[in-house]
Amino acid sequence: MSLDFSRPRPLIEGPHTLKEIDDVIAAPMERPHHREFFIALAISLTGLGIFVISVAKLMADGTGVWGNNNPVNWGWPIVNFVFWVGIGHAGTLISAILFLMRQPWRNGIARFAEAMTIFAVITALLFPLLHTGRPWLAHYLLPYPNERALWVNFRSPLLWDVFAVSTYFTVSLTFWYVGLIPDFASMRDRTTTRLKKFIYTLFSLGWRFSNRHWQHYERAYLILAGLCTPLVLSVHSIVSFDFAVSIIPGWHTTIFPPYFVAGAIFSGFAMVITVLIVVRVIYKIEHIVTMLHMERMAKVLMATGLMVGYAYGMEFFIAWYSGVEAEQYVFINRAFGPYAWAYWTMIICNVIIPQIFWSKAARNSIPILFVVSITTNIGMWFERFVITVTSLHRDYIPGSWAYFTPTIWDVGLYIGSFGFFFTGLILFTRFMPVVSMAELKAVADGAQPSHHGGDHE
Amino acid sequence: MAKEPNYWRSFEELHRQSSGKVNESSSREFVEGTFDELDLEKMTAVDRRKFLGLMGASAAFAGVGCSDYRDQGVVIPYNKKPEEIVIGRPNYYATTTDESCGSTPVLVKTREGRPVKIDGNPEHPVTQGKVGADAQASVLGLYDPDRLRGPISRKDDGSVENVSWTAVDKRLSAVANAAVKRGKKIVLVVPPITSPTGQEILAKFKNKFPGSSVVKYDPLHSPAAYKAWSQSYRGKGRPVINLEAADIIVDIDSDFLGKGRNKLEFARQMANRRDSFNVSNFNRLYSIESGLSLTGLTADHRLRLRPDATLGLVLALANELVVKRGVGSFARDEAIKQSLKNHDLKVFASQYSLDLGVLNAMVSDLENNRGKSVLFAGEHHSQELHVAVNFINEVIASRNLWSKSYSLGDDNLADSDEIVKLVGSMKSGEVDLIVHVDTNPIFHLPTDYDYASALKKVPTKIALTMVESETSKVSDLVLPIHHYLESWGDSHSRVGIYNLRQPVIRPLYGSREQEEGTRQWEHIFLTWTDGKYEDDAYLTFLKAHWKKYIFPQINSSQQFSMFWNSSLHDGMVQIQVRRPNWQFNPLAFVGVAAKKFVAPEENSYAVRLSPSYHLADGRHANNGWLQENPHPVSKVVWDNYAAISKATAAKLKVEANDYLNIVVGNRKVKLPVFIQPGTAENTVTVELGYGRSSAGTVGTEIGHNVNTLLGSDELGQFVFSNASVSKHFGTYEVVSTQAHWAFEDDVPELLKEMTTDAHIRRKVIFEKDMEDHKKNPKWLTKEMKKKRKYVKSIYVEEHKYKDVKWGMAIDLNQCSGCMDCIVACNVENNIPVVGKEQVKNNREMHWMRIDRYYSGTAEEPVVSVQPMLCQQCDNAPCENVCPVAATVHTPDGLNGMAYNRCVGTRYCANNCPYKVRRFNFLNYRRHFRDSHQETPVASLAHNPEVTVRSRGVMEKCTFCVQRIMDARSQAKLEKREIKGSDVTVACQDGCPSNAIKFGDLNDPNSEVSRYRDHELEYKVMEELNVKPNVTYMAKIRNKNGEARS
Repeated sequence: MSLDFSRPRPLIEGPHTLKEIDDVIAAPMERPHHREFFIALAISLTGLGIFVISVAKLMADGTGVWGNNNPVNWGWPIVNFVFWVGIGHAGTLISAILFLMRQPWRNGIARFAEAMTIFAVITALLFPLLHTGRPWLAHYLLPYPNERALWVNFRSPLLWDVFAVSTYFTVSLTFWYVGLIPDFASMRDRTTTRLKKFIYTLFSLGWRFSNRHWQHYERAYLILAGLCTPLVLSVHSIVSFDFAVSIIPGWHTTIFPPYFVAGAIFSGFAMVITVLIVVRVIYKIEHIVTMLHMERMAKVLMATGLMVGYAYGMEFFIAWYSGVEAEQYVFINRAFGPYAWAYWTMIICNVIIPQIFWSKAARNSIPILFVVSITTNIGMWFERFVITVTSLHRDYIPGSWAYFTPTIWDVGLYIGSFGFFFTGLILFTRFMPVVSMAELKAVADGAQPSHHGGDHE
Repeated sequence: MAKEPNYWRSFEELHRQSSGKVNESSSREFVEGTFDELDLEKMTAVDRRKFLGLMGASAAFAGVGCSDYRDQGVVIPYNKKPEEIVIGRPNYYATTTDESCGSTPVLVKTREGRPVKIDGNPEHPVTQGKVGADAQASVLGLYDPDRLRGPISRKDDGSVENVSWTAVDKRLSAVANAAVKRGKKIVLVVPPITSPTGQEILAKFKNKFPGSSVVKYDPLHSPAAYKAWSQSYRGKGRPVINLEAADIIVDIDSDFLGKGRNKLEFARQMANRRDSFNVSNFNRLYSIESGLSLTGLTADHRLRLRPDATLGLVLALANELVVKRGVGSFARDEAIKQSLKNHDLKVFASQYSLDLGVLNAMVSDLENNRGKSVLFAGEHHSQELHVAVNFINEVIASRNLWSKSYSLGDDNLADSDEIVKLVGSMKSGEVDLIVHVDTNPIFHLPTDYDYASALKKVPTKIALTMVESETSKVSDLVLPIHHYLESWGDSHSRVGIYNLRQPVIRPLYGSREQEEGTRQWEHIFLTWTDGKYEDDAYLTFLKAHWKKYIFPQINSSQQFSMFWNSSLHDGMVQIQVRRPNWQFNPLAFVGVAAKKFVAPEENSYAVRLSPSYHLADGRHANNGWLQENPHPVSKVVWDNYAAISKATAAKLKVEANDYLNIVVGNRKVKLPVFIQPGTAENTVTVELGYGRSSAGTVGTEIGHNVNTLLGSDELGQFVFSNASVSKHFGTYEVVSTQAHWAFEDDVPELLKEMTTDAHIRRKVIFEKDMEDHKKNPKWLTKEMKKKRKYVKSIYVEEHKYKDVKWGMAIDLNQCSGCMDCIVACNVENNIPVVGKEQVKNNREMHWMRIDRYYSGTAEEPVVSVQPMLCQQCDNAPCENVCPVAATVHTPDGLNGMAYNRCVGTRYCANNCPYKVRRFNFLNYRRHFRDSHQETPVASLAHNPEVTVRSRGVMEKCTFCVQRIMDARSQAKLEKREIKGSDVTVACQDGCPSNAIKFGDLNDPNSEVSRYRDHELEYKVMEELNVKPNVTYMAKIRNKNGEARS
């Protein structure tokens, strides 16, 4: 196929009428229960079961069921928290920032990425809660007038975290829901069963596709996108403050905010790629979520991978440049000490492997994309592990150095969190449109007035 | 089982429990009729009342169903208050313990009638207010849930039944009288008894039952030292060295600072000569030892020597001193010169690769400091070594250091022959009755005595014990005895000082009728001798003894009752005595020196056993606080191990935690390897006291029993030559609170360089040689000034502390690293025992720890110790990061901790550069050994002033804030301001070296302020600008200039 560079690449492959688009996207919600769905749900429910068991054990016995110890007071739960918050970033980035930048190609994947954001943030929020010694007293972190006559400590980054993540979650949820309203209305109009009709009616808020509605909708969506955009940057910056504001060598670093944001986008895109590769096959929407999307996301992946690679290098430089003994030790110890294996896993997965995307063929190869997206997430999980654990296990006072080993309950909670996440996500694909019908129709052929009066003639 | 034990803390409570009236009335707290209206049956429609009723009921159900973990039951005040008790105020009583190093006078703190803390008796001339860790921890022994509640009869098939004391007394009298009639023997196996009254009771018993004999034995006692003493000096008693007057001290594998009877006094005297304010007065300590000990790490010069070559060294030293340098009057004695001619120091040094420079410097020091020098020989070494050391001590005139008072010595303790004889008579059926009085020979005695099978031949075996032991498990009758805190008694171990013991609590398991419960062992014997039981029999007897024997000695005109009351109040009586002037007899030495010293074969292995630092011979095995107190050097907890050097490990092809097979003659033992830097080559050092097979819930099957390695040939001899050592299959994990990364081999050179000596590179530890320090005494001040110059604060204005500001100073020159402070802190602050598995996960809860750092090589390490606790930083990094403000600063400069506020984010612990915060990862009291620490009786050991922390809460040292608050309210009552000197902290009280100073930093005349202005003062990691309030004194090593190379 010869490319015509004078025109943008089509965002939907093949000719489609607007009705066909609706049909394809609504199919998962209307089709009788199919096998793939149940297999996927069974797997994720197993994971959710592991999660429930791990939480029950944790509640019964306490934080001691994990491998956390005295120098390494933060272990896997914090690693997982940062990991899941990071995953959540791609959604907002794709839907809000790309929306503001008028990148119409986002329309095919925005909805799904946003849903991922929602479920990832919910998963992430569970971890700081579960990781505290007494989760049943978590309300102590909320500043409200109380009978204890005590206030929270606004100097603590953990408190900033509470605000940052909860704001992010609220705004993302609203943004997602507002985007869903026209589609709920479409579903309301299409559906035949009474219960579904009732529910979709409820959630579509009386949407009638009127011009006025569309005007309000566009305005609201734009404002929300504007609100979301700084949040993408602020959330992970503040998560990074959990580390950067401390005085621990390896944590106390000014590069952390941009480095964490880049890392979050990196891991978020990787997760979107992984899941979309599966979903587009299952729901047969390859012509909607096209190779064009895949290739562009691969480019973002490589760019952010280079950014984190730069940060890794810069950390070493600053440690050397600072002249602080403990700081220098932490970085050399990262690369050559007892956790060197984790460090080099991170470097290989995050910096070296994504370089394959310099090649266009690799960007267009589903197997390569799938493998690289998974290694990226492995690498990004290890990045958080390296930051959290290797900095703590040998900090200032040599007399307290120790080694951290996770337990089966650390692993259980982590694997279980995937079960939690995917259960939510799979149920989402079953009951809500995975691609925004309204937005997709807007970029379909002939949807917008043009000189050509249509394409592909 | 007997009926449910009835715990009570006061008579009121006891009566209340029996009558039940108060409990009944407390349950009817509300006016009758309050709940009557709430009748759901009568409510027919869903009206407002029913709705409210249902809501109330479900809330009540939820409340009852999910019982509140904070609800710890009803607190009922005294109905009729005892006169001497003021609620919330402690009472102190002087008494005496024999838990630690012989008999130690103590001051017991009781709250509402129960003992909660034990400290030394400050008025006692020997200990001066100090006790060892074992005595500190002995409150746990009192409240040990494993204690027997009443006499037990054990049948042949092993089944047990409870019997009454009346039945016991009857049975004993029948058996004893029958034995007397048949001409059979009665044997009492007793520990070394320092009580004059106890001895009189035993004598009385022997009179009543002719044919009975008393066998006194102490598993840790070595007759060799005593025998050598009487060989060299003749005469009763042994002198006590006044270490404070000694300038040069040489330790020959003795660890006199860490183990041994006199360690408390030695620690204090040693510390007095290591005062940072008097650096020119420092003494010099040389240590030549097999394994790295507490004394070795304190030493200015340390040499490694296998334990079976020590005699050769001492003879070579004698040759160098007497023959070569002509020191002392024996230099002209031809017989001695002749006998020493084969022992050359130079040859010896090269043979064992000892640093000749150090040895020569040491000899010169001894030569130049005659009358101010002393040698200590390891107690469990051979008699010959002790004779030789006695000789050198005589040559260097160490008799000048003998203090006025002297020790009674352990005469008439059983030696090997006596035990062989006892076993023989047991086997031949001559013994009808054997009574083990708080002794455990089945565990302790060398197996080749065959004591266990001999014991089977004795028809009646009685064991008197607090907790079931290996010996009580094979006894027909097990009789529970009192804890020392429940007993009357006395002791006399230092001539001229009689200590008194008084009960500070009614026996926990005793009833007035004495049908069940515990009895004091002296009382048991008194009952048997008198043929009848009387409640106060022993007290009457004790008083009579004192009236007859001790009261006349003071030549006082006062009445006995006044003398008795004042002695009880003081806990002791002092009597002027004259020390005998023992005369030296050189002949014994000639005999030893002439007998050629048999050098160990070059590639053979030597084994050195020693008592455990914390468990002694294993008697403290059931005490969790002691089991979990880290070994002062290796920091290992809950275990003993075979310590070997790195090179020896490589030679044996073993790694840490591999099993090692150690064979001495036909005896062998399997032990896990621990690679201990500083151990002599081809030497294995092991601690005794572990591997109890029956010691209660906490202590059973902990570590490995090494008593099986002991031989019957020489009792108390813990050094073995020609052992064969080899790798055994299997591994066993030894757990320590602090690993030594410094000597890791499999890391890149760059990292290794930064890891080794990290504590020096990071300026956590400062040390200097004496000569360098004298040349430039301001070295540290200069360095700190440079460091402080770069520290800039982001705060414009520093917070002002107007009144008192608490601070601490720790003199590292005085701290020996003995770990006593840790236990003192544990007891004061209700610190739970977490168990080996949790320590393995680095979750020990100790608020205070002593960090041990190695520098130099793995072969000849330099060891530094540093007590580390919360530094109460002014700019505390932990406070900033807590989201719920659970840790906040107090106006008097403390870094406070509100447990109730804490949700457990653990950020504070991460952000603490000193890593002194401790998190309750689990509910340790519940987690450890099936809630062993939560049994009602065990909880009585808690200090009521300190919150018992539950799971999910952060905790840390608070400078004993409860004591500060107590002093503050006391000051308020007296209408004055609180002074820094009003408060002492627990670790300070527990430190035998007085290395910890505490007080008001705002008072320029306080002790801490003086230390803060000292030229050796530094704070750890000041460059972080956290402004810590614990000041350390840099350690000065008083090395001999000649020996430095």
